[in-house]
Amino acid sequence: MKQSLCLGLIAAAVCAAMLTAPAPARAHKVVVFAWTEGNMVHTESKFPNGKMVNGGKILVLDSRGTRLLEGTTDANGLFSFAAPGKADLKIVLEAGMGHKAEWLVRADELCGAPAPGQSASAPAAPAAPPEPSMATAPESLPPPEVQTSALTGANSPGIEKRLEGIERELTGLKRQIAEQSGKEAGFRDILGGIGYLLGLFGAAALVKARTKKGE
Amino acid sequence: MHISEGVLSGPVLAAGWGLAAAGTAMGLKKLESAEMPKTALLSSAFFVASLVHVPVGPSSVHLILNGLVGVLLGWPAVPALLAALMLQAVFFGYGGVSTLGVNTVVMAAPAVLCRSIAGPHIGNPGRLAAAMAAGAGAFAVFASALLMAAALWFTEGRYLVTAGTVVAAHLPVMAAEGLITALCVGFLRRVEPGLLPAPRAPRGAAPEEKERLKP
Repeated sequence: MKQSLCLGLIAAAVCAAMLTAPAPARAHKVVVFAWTEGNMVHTESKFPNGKMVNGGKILVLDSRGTRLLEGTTDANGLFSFAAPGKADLKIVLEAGMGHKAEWLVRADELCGAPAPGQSASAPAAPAAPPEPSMATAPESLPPPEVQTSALTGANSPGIEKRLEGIERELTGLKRQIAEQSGKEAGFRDILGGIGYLLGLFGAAALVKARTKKGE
Repeated sequence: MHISEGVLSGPVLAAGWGLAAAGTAMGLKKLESAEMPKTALLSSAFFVASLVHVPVGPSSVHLILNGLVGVLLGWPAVPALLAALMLQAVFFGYGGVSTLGVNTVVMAAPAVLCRSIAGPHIGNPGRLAAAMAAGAGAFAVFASALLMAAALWFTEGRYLVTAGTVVAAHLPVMAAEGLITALCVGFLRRVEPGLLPAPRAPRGAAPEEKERLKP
């Protein structure tokens, strides 16, 4: 009985710890995510409590793990680079003290990137076409170059302006979608985890009690 | 203090798993049925404590509480921490599943050590007990930082640099955990001394041990 009082107190301490942890909970892990804009790839690295990774090392690898380029995140956790080719890119963040995170950029997210082998000196052309939205199959659309020439051929300045606006919005959306995947644990995870632990040790107690009875 | 997936090499991971398995077996053998609820709750407390953040300069570190778990549990702290770390990896994305063994050793070895040094004293009334508890709380974090740097040595090299960085980042955590552990132990001694390890008859060796505990 006395012990149950005490266990209640520990449980209260657990609850207090839970309340001091704001939801969505802060954490000590690191996430990196990337979004594309034309053939530019932007990466953002942060600790899920909102702190940006300043001076983290970003490695860009191809699908076979060959290092293509590397860079360092700035004070806002950002690092951008021009995609070296239209191929899958693996972005690896090394933030020190055993922190590491990865993000995959698929080849079809990259628009206007030169074919592998060509030089990638110029950043996205100003008239880079917007990417097809996720819902439509990219294969079914004509290649972006054709689209661009068709549109500029139409020679209507209004359309280009709107295209640019759409492109900016799409980039913002892509960034939001990427950010979603780095979401931190919430109250449901915390309570679920505690439940699992209590259940786990409860099961262990059950097994111990059974084996004792059997003896 | 959690090492992420893909940072460590195979042999280090295997060694971590081996040591963690041995410790877990030892812990389960020593875990008595009556201690099961206490173990479960301390495991939960450890699971949740990592969400309580201490902001440090550009980064942030979280509470660990392995010292508190260690002095209150002894060897059963190993399975308690293993279970909590597994759920932290699954729910919060801290560390990883492959690095679970290494992370368990990093956190649990100092916990067991703290119990063997400070355990016999913290049940006694008086200043020595409070100092022992505070020392255990702080020392466990310090020792974990050194162990983590040792695990990272094989991939990052420069042991002293890594160790220095990790220890420096965790100085506020050491202070916080020393305080928390001393308060918890003091509180338990007044309310429910049965939860503390049985006090050993005082012997002359106490003062040196106290010195050794101070990081």
